Amino acid sequence: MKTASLLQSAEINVLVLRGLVSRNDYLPYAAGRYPPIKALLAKPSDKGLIEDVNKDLAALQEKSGASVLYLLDTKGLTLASSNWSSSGSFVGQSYLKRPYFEDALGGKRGIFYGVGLTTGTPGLFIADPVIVAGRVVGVLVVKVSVDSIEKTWSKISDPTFLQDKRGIIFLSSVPEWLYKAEAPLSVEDLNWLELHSQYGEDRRYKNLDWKIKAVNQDGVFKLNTALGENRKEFLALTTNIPELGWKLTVTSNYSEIIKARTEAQAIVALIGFLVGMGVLYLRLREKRKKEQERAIAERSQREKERQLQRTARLASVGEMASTIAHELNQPLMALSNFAVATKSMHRTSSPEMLDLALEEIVEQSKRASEIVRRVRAFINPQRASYEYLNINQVITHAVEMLQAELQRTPCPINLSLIPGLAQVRGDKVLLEQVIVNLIQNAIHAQLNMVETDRRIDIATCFKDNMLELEISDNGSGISIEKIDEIFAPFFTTKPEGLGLGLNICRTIIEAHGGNISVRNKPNGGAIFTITLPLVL
Amino acid sequence: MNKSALTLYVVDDDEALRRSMMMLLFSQNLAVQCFDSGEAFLSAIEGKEFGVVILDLRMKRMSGLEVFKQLTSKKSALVTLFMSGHGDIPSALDAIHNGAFDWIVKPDTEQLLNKLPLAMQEARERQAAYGLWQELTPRECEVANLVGLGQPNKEIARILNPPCSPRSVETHRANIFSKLHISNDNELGRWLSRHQWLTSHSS
Repeated sequence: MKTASLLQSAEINVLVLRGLVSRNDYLPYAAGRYPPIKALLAKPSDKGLIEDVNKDLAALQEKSGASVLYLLDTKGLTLASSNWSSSGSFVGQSYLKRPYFEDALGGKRGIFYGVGLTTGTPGLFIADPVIVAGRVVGVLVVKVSVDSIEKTWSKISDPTFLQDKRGIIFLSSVPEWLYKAEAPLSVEDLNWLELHSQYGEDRRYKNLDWKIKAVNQDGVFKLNTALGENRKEFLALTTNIPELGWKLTVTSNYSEIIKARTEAQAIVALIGFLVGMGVLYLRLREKRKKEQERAIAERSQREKERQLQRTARLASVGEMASTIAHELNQPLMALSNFAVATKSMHRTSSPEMLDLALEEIVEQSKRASEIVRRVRAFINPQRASYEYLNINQVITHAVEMLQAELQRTPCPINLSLIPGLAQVRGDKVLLEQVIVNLIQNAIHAQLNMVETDRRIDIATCFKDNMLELEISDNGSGISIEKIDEIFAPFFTTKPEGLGLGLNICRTIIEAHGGNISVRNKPNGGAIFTITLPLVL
Repeated sequence: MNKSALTLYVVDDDEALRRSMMMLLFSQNLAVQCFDSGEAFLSAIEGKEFGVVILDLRMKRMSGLEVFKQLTSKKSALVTLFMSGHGDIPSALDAIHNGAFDWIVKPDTEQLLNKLPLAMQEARERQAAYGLWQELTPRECEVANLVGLGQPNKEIARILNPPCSPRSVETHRANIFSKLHISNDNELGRWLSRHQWLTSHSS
């Protein structure tokens, strides 16, 4: 996971570096074919030609965005330069000792990164020979600034750096690593660097305080190093850029700040604490990932158990609705928390932290929709699971399930069922749930009545090839203005009701190809009527 | 007991919710300790902490109400904020009657952020009350409790062991009032009933 992000980061940086070269490396070659340049090389003291070439180079430099374009003769002397009119003009300067000049004079392209002799600022030098009749008559050089890369890198919190073939860091997001080497340099190397003053004068090329550990097969290694006051450990990946002779290393903060060696100041402690919180948080995430994996494995087992429980369970539709509400509240609260946290952190927090928070938000919304999906699947069962049911058995079973409640609230139930077999196709548990829910509603409607006045009638009959089931009570019925919305979601007359029971009942009955309706009895009380397709 | 540090606890059996609380409170620059069960929380605390505990009402194992009951019987000074769903409001209300500070209805984060500072304030007041209470001598604590119960000086003088004169009860009473920054019996009664947890904190 970490390796992947390192690879990605390396890839992007290599692309940027190659882009920097490829955007500019045609310039010396193209300019070298320009007739006035060849003419000037033939007549180096021609004032008119010098002026022309200076202006041409300046125009080309401006158009290409390169830092400087300049022309050297075979002795390394600058004949013309795009910065001819500025105070730091290269004209007249000698670049005889520059490696790119040596390469180009030898007839090949020279690419060199170093600190400018005249300017003192580092840059990338690309040089190409100007060839006339098979002979190198001069060298054209372009200097490209690396400011844009330095600027980008300065915003990266994890160290990113470039090393040359000697292992010297010449471009780094950590300024104190600049011009330090991974290993002691040989005397030859030191002499060469001194002679060409690649990185300026009087460099010591001190060794980096690095400990490199455990290299895995992807080339990822652990880099332990001092950074500021602390030692830190990074996961690192080094990529070679052979055409430039460079090595790019990208890193990613590995574990945590390793204990400050000396007693840290209060501010350091505070920062440490905040980072610590972040890490604690990350650990929790890791742990949860594992838990999720385990949960998936357990899910299939649980699925089987649930099938069993569905038949044994006494939970009513109303209880189910309350459970759903609770289940949904968890991800919703988490989602809301993450969103508010993101809102208050977005200005101050690291992009990584915000990424995490946003990822969490996405995950929690997925979790919520998964619950909704499960509920839908539960009350809209696959027809494949339908079985032939004797509706009379379904009703008597539902009544049995309510025995405990009927003992608390005594209420006579009169069954008048069709004799013999009245068969429907459907999900036994769900149909039982519907009947249980309707009977419970009937009981609740009569709670405040004296026991002798309470009564619930359950009757079945055939009507137009359908089975009709009626459940009626002796309560006060449903008020006229509410009778139309009684099946709507979140309609409830109970102070703590969720208003989902009847809505779920309707969904279940309609999934079975049936219908549910309600009307009031003339002398008080409500009648719920369910119709279901008969199977003969 | 550390005078300045208030601790914030979250007890919830839902992993994602705990993480979200951590990040939320972290974003408010509040450090929080999370527990995945009431059992884990109760075994981790000493009962001497000052701070706020955000308790989920509905948990798989020990319920939030049970955790709160145990906190109360431990005479913990922690301020309890319940988190509950809509359907569980009656239980949350019950808990408030029994001394919980307040409750938050899930999923209302804003409500949590509004009520949390009040709970923290309450925790600080409890901490301050403890500081004052510690200045009383054991004898004064005893007298304070009896005064709080509405006993007259004469009666208190008789009940105390060893008994003393009503006059010295009067002296104790004056000391108590000045140490607790209180001006009369009624105020002391209210102060004590607000800080019932204190009686076990007396040295």
